Amino acid sequence: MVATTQQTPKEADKKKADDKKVPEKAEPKKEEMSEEDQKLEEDLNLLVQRLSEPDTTLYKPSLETMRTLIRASTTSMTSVPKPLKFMRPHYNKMKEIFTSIVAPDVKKLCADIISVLAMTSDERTDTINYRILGSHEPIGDWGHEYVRHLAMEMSEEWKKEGTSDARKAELLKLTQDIVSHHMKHNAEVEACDLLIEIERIDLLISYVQEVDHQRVCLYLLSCAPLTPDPDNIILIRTALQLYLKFNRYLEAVRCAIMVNDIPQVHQIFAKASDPLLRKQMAILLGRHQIFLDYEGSADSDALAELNSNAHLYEYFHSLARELDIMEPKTPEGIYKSHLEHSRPFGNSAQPDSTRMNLAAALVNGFVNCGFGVDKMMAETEEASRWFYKNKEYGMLTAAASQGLIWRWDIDTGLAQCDRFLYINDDYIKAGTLLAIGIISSGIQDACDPASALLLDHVQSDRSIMRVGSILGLGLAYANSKRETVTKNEERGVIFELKKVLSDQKPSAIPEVKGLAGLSLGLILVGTADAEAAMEMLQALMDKSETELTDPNMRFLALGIALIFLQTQDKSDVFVESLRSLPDPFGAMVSTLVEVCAYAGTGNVLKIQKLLHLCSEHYETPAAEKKTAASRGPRGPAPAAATPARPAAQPGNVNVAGTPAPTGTPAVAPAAPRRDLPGAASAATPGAPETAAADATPAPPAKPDLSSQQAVAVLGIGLIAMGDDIGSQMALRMFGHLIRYGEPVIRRAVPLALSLLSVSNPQLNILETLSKFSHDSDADTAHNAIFAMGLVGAGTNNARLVAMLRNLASYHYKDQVSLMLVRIAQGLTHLGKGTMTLNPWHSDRQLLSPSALASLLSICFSFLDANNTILNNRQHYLLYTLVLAMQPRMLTTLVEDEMKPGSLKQLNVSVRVGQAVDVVAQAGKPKTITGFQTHTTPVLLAHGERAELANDEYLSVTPHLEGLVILKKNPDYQPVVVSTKK
Amino acid sequence: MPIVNVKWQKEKYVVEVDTSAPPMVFKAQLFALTQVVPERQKVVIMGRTLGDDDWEGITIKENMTIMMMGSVGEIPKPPTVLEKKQANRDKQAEEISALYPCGLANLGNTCYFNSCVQMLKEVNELVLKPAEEMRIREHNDRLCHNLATLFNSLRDKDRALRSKGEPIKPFAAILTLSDSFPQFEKFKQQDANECLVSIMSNVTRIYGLSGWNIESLFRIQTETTMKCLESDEVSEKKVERNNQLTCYVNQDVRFLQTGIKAGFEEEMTRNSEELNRDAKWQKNTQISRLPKYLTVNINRFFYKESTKTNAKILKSVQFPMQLDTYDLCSQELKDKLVARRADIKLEEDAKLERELRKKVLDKEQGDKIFDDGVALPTAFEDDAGSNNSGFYDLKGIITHKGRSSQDGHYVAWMRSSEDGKWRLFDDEHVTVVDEEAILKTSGGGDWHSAYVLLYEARVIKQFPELPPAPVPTEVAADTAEPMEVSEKQ
Repeated sequence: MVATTQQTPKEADKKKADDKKVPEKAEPKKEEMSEEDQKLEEDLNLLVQRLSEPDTTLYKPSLETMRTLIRASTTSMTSVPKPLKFMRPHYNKMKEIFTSIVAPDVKKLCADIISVLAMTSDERTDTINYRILGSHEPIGDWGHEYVRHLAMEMSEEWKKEGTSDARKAELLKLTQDIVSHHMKHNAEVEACDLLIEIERIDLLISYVQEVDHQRVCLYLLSCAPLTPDPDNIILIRTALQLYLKFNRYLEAVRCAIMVNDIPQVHQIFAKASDPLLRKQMAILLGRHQIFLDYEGSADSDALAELNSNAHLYEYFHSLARELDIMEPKTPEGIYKSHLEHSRPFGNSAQPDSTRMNLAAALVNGFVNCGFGVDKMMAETEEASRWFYKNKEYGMLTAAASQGLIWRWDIDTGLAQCDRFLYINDDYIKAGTLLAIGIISSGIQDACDPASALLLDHVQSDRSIMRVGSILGLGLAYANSKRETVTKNEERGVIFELKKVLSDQKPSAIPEVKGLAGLSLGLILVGTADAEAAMEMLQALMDKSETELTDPNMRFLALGIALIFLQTQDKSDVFVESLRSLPDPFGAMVSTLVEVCAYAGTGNVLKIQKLLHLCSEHYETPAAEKKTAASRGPRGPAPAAATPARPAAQPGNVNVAGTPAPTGTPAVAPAAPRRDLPGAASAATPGAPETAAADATPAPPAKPDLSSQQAVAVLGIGLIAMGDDIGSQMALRMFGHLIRYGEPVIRRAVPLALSLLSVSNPQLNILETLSKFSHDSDADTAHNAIFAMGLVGAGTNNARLVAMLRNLASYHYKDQVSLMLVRIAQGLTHLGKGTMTLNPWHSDRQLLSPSALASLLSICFSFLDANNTILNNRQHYLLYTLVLAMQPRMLTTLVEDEMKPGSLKQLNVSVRVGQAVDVVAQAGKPKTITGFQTHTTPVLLAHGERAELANDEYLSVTPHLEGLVILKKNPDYQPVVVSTKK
Repeated sequence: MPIVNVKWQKEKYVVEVDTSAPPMVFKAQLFALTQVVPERQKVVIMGRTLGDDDWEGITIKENMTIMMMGSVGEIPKPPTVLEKKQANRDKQAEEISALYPCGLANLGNTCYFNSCVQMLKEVNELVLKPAEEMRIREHNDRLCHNLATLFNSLRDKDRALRSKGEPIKPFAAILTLSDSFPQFEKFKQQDANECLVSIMSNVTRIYGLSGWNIESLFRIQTETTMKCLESDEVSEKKVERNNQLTCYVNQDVRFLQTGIKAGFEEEMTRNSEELNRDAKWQKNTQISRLPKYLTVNINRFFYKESTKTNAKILKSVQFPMQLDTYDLCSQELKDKLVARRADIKLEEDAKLERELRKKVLDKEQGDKIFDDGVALPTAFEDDAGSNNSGFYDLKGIITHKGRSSQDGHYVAWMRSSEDGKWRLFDDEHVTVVDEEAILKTSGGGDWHSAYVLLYEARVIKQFPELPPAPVPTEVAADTAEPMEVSEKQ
């Protein structure tokens, strides 16, 4: 091309020459090759020529020359290197030559060259094959592209069916070469990818060096959510091994937490010797709500204290003082009802005081949560008067709200509650028991006041006392693995709760049993304790089919599911045995357990399966009529549907049970087909055939599995949560479900949406929920309103606050909705905007099981809200949210010089900014962007990360969240101010 | 015997435990330390509560931490029936107060009218009984009749309860207002003071015809003398009758009183007969009669020639909750006022004395004594509807928010004569506010600024002589002393 452009001026000058030039231009581009290239081509041709000649002595030198020529140009790979291009025509010839060569060393040399040439050929595995045959020179000599090409072919070759073991061993050897080369050349990502592909990630450990291991582990950990089980576990375990290899115990503990491997945690504790590091690990476990016994080590007391979050409230109060928000707030201060639009001619209906009082109790608790001071219950007299303003179960909930106020502070809080245990009213007593549970939740004091006080009432003769104490125990000991809880004897918490399951006393009403199941689930969360699960299943099996329709039985099922939370394939066996329960209950439970087992994994296969479930339609004719009527504007025109029904029975079959095609994302779009008016055209000639073909299961006998569908919808949210891409995809699916799904599915969607984005008010989610909160279906609207509360929990998000205020005036007539709006407002201001419900923590990589369990429980309750939370009785279930409430602060601690071994708070300056994804980024990228400098203690919003602003201190953990221990930097040199004159 | 740490609330105690003795002994030890009675103690050891009689199942180790829960003080009691009744009554009262007094619906820019009506309905004399209303009707003045009905229904508690606090829609009154006073074009923003003056003139006339002397309740009589500054000429006294005082706002005026005074003492140019030319005159006005209800208009609006708008002066003019008009009165009137003004001193003394006494007596008796004052008449005997002390209490204000009289928003803030609470009447919304909110409307910004103020003559009470104070019992003092002594020992 250069030549032609140079010619252009000439062309302009001599137009005559035009005719002559045109044919010249049309000549093949070969002409444009520089002389250098031409010479190269000739040389190569000559070499090939020489190889095809019989003179074997010339083979070696010519091959060597060829190698030199090729290597000279394979270093850069912006385009196909010239030698390879020129050798391409000779590729097959080279292979022939190879077969004809006899001398082994020459043959190997030749194989090497063919292996390189194969990069440009169409033969998929030649590169590998000839590499194996070749002389095994260092792999990098042929340039980086060659290695990458090998790696690419390797993963394909490995997966080929029928690869023999011998062959695999050969391939493995080559793989190791590749990996070791990658690791040496800053291509850790490719090395990991290759090993993941061939499923031999275990090999990685021997190749990783100190310098790389952070990057490698980070990559592995962020790959984990994108791989199906059991690979994700393997990846995390590999990272764990790597961290251990380089003595990064804190990170290793994080990995162990991810796979919920408690023995491993103990082992790591045994290895780690740095006292500060051990403390930080204990703090991390405490934040994750894993509570262990640390018997036998010198610093066991200190560790147990940190693990038990005993001082959390002090740090939280210090944050509150720093932010100047200690002043208690009243519910009215949150509602700001004077800002609500009041309608000019609408009558201001007298508020239904029971519901509004209840909402006020909850809101007061949520808003002043953890501050230890409020305006409604500060005085004993006032508190008592306030409790008596409510009735029966309302009293229970009001009394339990004390627990929120005094959360974490067992010393003062229990003393405050204590006096109400002597009051002569069971509801208040029961509520106070629950309050004790709430206060002690997440705090594991060695004296175990919660178990001491609550266990006495678990077997009480009054069911209401049992309600308070059982739920209280569940909250107090969620995910605790301490001996008090697990010991299998009298006064072991689990032991006593199990007894309730089989209790025949009259006070053991279904409500009590359901709560016992839930509490067991919360305590044993994620343990996959088959024995406990079996006992609960037994309790369910003893029930008749009608007994199983009791809404409280659903909580037993939830308990089973929670036991298997995040256990992945460990749940498989149990899921099958659950199917023995009569449908629809059995189907619902087995789905519930399955979704729980994969919660937070982002497992796409499971999501597809769930979508599949949702695409089915179960409707009894009566229900169908009802929904058709309610669906009037967008559903099938009733007039069209009625004549179609008697005409064609298969048409009905189609409506009732078209299984969607395979589990592709097309499932959801497929569903609308029957929902559109076109569905009524089932009577058209084509439709019956397809319907008959599709409807393999006999639809009329099928029980109504809609409860299973609701769980499935929730499950999609549960599985996709935490992973950004998965969440985005789930959002889209929910759009389809809400548009085309059954009412049951529609009701579950807002809840599932909220699970995707807990305490993270993203605009699109808020707006979707806001739309649903005005839905004509009251249940959908209720769920959406509550979901808004979850999404904005603890953020003080101004937009959400305005939305809720509008909702309050929109729903001013509907007391139930209004109560939920109030609760959502309270949640939005949770802890005056200092807390989060999000179960993900530690750089959004750890998923706290008890927090997740609490969110799941509350969402599950809302699936059937009219029989649970809104039945004027079981509103106390809202307190399960307590387990997820955590301050979103950063407080820095250092070792106290005055008292060695204890920690004291130290305020340092930190930079807080939006977290940046640094996985697989080259060099040392910045981890935060758009930062501001603050002094600790400081609040961290969702998606924010902090780093120390100067080098004076080093943090023990790389993830600055919650309580962080700092050490003096030995190399720190204070900046000398040199401006003095 | 093992030594343990006992944690109680935030305290920590080191206690020696004798496990051979029953736990009650241990609890007694704790009682000595914490004052928590053993029955109320919950001793928590390793997930168990300690019983009273034996140590069964509990092993005490050296240096272990034990938690004790328990509180000193009474156990909270449920609210008694009485309290509940009280709560019910409170609730009922609350309910009523939520509904009454009710607002007036805004029918389209009628806030000026609504605030005037809300102000006037607090004048008890204007609120008639239904039977009396008939006499108004006889005069066939529809505006007045409508207004009277409106005042009535606004003050009708039962109606408010029946209609659940629904705001009243004053259609008829608005329509007849514009019929009677064509300058008040329907559904357009008008000047509230102008409206007030017009309504007043109408109401006084018709009420007067029907036999109620409203006029005297509002009539201010002033005497104006003119003095020429350049000669000694003095013009004759001119007596004027007025319904309203005007507070002129200029650069120097920061208080209501000075603003009124500024209108009373003016310098002006006028022809002097003596000098036979224009000369400077000093105008001096004094009040010779004070009415029971004194309305003061803070003249905030002036017509701006340049922009042809009614511009507003946003300057802050502070007004008192208690107005003393003594300085504005003529000498003759001042002399007459003195007698009643002396009573004020007595009243205050009596009140102070009762306040002191109250501390000595128990509540019930104190209340009885406290409320024994008898209200003295506020009018001169020979002049009904006048004010005989010169003191006024603020009864209500109409405020304006906005930048000109033709737009913005008028609201009324009134102190109810029934419960003494201040309320904000913002069209259909009625909210209870506190006194501070009233004082904040003095102007000086874009917030509501007072425009028309209504003062009512202050009611002065006469208290009888207090009975001699009972001798305080000294029992308490007697017992206290020996105790102190014993402690010292």
